[in-house]
Amino acid sequence: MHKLLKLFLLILGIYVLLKLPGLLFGLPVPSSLILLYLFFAAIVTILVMTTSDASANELFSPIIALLEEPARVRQRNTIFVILPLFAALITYLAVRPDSEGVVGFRSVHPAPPAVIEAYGQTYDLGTLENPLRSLESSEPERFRSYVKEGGDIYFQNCFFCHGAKLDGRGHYAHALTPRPLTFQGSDTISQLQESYVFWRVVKGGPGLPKQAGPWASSMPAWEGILNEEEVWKVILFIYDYTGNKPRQWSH
Amino acid sequence: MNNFIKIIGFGVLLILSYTLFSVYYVPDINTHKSSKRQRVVLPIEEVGPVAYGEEVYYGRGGCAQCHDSAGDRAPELSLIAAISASRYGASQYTGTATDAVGYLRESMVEPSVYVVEGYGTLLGKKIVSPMPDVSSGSISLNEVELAAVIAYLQAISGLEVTVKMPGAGPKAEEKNGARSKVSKEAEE
Amino acid sequence: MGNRLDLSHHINSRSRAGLGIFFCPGVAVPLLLLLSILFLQVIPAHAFSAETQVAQVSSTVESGAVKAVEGVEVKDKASELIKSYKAGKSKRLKKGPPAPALEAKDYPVVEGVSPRVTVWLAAQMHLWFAAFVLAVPIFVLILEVIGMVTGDSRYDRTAYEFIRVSITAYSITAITGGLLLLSLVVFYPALMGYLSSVFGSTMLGYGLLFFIESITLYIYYYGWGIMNDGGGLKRLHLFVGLLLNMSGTALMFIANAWVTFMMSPAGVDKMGAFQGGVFAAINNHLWSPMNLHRFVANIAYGGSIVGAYAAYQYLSSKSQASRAHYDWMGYTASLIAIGALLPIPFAGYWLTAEIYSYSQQMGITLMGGVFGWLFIIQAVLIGALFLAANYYLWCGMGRAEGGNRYTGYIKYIAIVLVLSFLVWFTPHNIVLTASETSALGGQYHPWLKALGLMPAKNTAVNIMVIFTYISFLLYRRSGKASTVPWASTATAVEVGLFGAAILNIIFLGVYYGYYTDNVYKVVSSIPQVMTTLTVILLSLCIEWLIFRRAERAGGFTWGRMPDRSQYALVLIAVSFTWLMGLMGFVRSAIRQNWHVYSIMKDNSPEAYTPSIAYAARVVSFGTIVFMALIIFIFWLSSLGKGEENKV
Repeated sequence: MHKLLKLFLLILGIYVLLKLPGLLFGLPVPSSLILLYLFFAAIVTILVMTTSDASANELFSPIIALLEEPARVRQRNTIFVILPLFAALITYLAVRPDSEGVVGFRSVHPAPPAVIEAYGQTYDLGTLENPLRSLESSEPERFRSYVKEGGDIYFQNCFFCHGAKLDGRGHYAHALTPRPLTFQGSDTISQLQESYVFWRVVKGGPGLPKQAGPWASSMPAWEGILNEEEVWKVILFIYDYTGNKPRQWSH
Repeated sequence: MNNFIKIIGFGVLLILSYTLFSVYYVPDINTHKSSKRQRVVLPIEEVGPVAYGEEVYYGRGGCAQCHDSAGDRAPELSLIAAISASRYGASQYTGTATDAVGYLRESMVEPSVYVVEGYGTLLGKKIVSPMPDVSSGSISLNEVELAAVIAYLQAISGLEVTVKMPGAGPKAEEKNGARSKVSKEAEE
Repeated sequence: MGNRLDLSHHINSRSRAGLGIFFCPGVAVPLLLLLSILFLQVIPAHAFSAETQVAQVSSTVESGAVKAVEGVEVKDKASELIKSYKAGKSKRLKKGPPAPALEAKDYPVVEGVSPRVTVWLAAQMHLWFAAFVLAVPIFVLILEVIGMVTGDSRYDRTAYEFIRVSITAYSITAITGGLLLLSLVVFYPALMGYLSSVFGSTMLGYGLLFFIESITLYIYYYGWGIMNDGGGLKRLHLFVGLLLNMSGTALMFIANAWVTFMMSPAGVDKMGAFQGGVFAAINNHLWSPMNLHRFVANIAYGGSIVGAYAAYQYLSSKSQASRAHYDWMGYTASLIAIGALLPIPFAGYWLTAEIYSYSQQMGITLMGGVFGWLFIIQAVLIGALFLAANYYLWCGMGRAEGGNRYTGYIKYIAIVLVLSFLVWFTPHNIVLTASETSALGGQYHPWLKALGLMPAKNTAVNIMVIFTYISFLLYRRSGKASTVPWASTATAVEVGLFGAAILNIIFLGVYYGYYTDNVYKVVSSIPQVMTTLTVILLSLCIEWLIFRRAERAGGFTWGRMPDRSQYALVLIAVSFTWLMGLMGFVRSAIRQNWHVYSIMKDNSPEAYTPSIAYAARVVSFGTIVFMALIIFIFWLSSLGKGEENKV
C-alpha cells in the first residue's frame, strides 16, 4: 500500500474510532477533543513517515508528481477545483445558522475565598475541618447516627436536585443549567476538602467569587436554612453514601 | 539567506499556531468583565443617596442579578415602594414594619417576612424566600448602603425619598472612601 | 593541536571594545540599583505615614473589602501595630512599616502607556535574557570540562563560540534589567518602596554579586586563549568559570526570593510589617521549589537556544566539515536540553504541590478555573517538545550505518507517545456544544473524565519520559555493535525492566489514582517518578556494560541528517521560549489582585486577570521581539568571528 494512502486511511480510522462512542453508546466524544486528537495523531504519523529521506520521498512523491508532471494536468486542475469547494463546504457548515445553543463553559470547582463569614463567625477555609469527622474513629456509633441525620437532611433539602442516588439527577435537575453536580465517582467531592464543600453549601451560587470565574451555579445559599451542624452532618452523609473520602493536604 | 528565511518563517509560524490555539481553541474566559454598572462607585456625598443606591443595586449588592425586568427569578421592583403598603398590610405578613421604608429595609435583611406569591421555596411546612440577607454573608451591605438602596427604590417608584441616611459623619465618609476603590472596571 | 586552542592572537585587538561592554553593565547596574534604593526611600512617604495607614486599615476592615481575618480585632491590632511601629522607629528597631493600602491615585499614570504590559514585557524580556545568560555559562563550563576530560577539541571550540555570544547577551540582560527596574519604579513606586523595606539589604547583595559575575565573566572570556595550557592555568580557568556560575546562580536565587515573596510572603506579620529577619523573607514557602525549577529549566533553555543556533549553521553550511561540526553541536546541545527537560515536569510538580499547600485558593486558581486551560496549552507545548526531541533522535538513526536495524520500532514508540500525549492534554473541563452537554448529561464525559485528573497525567508523562529515553537508547545502539556474548540476554533483561516499570507506573496511577483513598492520589506520583528514574539508571548501567568494549558498527557519520530534522531543534527553542513566557504569566497571575499575596492589594486600574487569549498575544509578541534580538546578537558575534577567520 502506498504511504500516502496509508496516512489517509489511518487518519480516517482514528476519526471513525473517535466517533464510535457517540454512535454506539450515545456518549459522544466532544468534537473539540476529536479535532485536537486527530490533529496530533496526524502530525505524529507524518513525523514517523518522514524520519528517513527515502520514506519521506515516498510519502510526498505522489503530491509532487501531481503538481509537476505535465501529463497530469487534468487531474491537477480537478483537484484545484475540488479543494476550494471543499474548504467552502467546511466554512459553510461552520457558519450556517442552526438551533444549537451557545457553547457553554464553566469551571465546576472555582477557587474558594481564603475566609468566609457565616453564622456570625469567620471561617478560615485553609484550616477549617469538619468537627464531626473525628468521631468516625473515636465514637463510631455517634458518627453513624450523625450520618443518618445527615441523610434525613439531605432528603429534605438536597435530594430534589442532587437526586436520590446522589448522582445529580434529581427531579428538578433537568430544568437547571448547569446540571447539579453528582457526588458519585472518584472525581467529584473526593477531589475537595470538606471545608470547600462547606463553603459551597453555605454560600451557594451567590457566594461564588468574581475572580474565580467562569462559573454558573444554581445552588442556593443554605446558611439561612440549615444551621452549621446540619451542614456538617449532610457533608458527612454525602461522603459516606458515595464511599468517598474528603481530600486532605497533609501528606 | 534562503535557510535563514525558512527558519524565521518556521519560528513565526510556530508562534502563530500557538497563539491561534490559545485564542481560538481555548474558551475565552474573561473574569474581569462584569456588569458595566459595577464600574465606578463614587462617594455618596458626591452623587447623593439615589445614585449611590443605584450603584449598589446594580453593583455590589447584586440585586439586579435576580430582580430584573423579566421577573422570573425574583419580583420586579420598579414600583415596590409605592405598593409596599399592600405587603406589610397583608395577612401573611409576619414582620413588624409599619411604613414603606421599614418594610423595604426589613425585606432586605429578613426577606422571608413576606414572600411574594410564586417566588417562595418550601422549607418544611413554611414558605420562605430564597433571597439572602444582604446585610451579611458575601454581600454584607452596611447601613449606609441599605439606606441608599431604599432611596433608590423610592425614587424609581416615583415617590419622594424619605429614608434617613444614617451616620452622616466622618465615619460614613471613611467607609465610602474605602468602598470607592473596591471595584473598578478595567478594559483591555 | 590536541585539545589546545590558540585564540590569543585576536584577543588583544578586541579587548578595548570588550572593556566597554564590560564596564557598561558591570558598573552601571550596581549604580542603578543603589540609586533606585535611595530614590525609593524618599518616594512613598505618603503611603507609609502612620495616620493614613490607621485610617485606611480601619476603613478597609470595617467595610470588609479586604480579607480582614479577625474582624474588629484586626482594627485594634492594626492601631497597636502602628503604635509599636512608631515606638520601634524611635528605638531604631529594624522592623519595617506595614504594607501600604493603596488607592488608584497612588499609581502614576503615563498617558497612552499601560503600566502592566510595560512591566510585563520588560520583566519577561529580562527573564529570557537572564535565563540565557545564566544558562550559557553553565552549559559552557560543562562542555569545557567534557572537553578537558575527553581531550576532544570540538567541545572547547563550541564552548568558546558560546561564551562569546553570551558577552553581548550579557549587556542586553543588564539593559533589560535596568528597563524593568525603571518601569517598576515609575509605575509601581509604592510597591517597590514596600519591597525595598523588606529586601533593601538583599538589593545591595544583588549589586555586589552582579559585579562579581561581571568580573569573572570578563576573565573567563578574555582569558580563554591565554589560560588554555591544558594544565594548571586551564584548571584555574575552570575555577573562574565555576565562580561565574555560582555568582550567576546566587543572583537568580536572590531575584527568586523577591518574586516568591510576592506569592508567599514570609518574615512579615499579617499587616505586612517586616519583622527584621531578612532570611525568613528570602526563605519563604515557594523559594526552594522555584529555585530548583528555574535552575533546571535554565539549563534546558540554554541547550535549546544553542541547538537552534547549530541547526541554522548546519542548514547554511557549505562544507562537509562544518556540516559535521554543527550536526555534532546540535546533537550535544539538544542532548543537554532534553536531559534537563526530563526532570522539569517533576520539579514543576513539586512547585505546584507547594503552592497548594501554601494556599488552597492559589492552588485551585492555578489548576482549576481560568488557568486550568492554560495548563492544557502547556501540555500541548510540552507534548510538542517531546515529539520534536523524539523526531530528532529518530532522524539521527540515519547517521549510523546500522541504523536500519531499529527503525522498525519507531512506529511503536510513536503509538505509545501519541496515546500518552492525548491523555496528557485531555482537559477535565471539556468544551462542549449544547447537544453534547445534554447527551452526556453534564459537564464531564463518563469515560474521558478520568483522563482529566492528575493521576492519569502523571502516568502519561512518566510513560512519555520512558519512551523518549528508549528512543535515545535505540539511537545510541544504532551506531554500535556489541562484542560481549551475553548481549542478547542483557537486552532481554532491559526489556523486562522497562516492561515491569511501565506496568508498575500504570498500576500505581490507576489503582491509587482511582480506586483507593484520595490521600494517596497525590502521593502515588512519587513512586511513579522513582520507578522512572530507577529504570533509566539501571538500563544506563546495563548499556554501559554491554557496549563498554563495543565495536563501532560503522559509527556515526556526522553531518548526515535530513534538513527536516534541524527544524525539530528550532521548534524546541521557540517552544521553550514561548512556554517560559506563558508559565511566567500564570505564576504571576495567580496572585490575582494582590501585589503581595494576602498582604498588599493591587488597586491599580489594571488589577484584574487578563484572559488567556490576551496573555498569549502578549507572550507571542515578546517571543518574537526576543528571538529577533537573539538573532541580532548571534549576527553581531558572527562579525567578530569573520574577523577571526581572516586573521
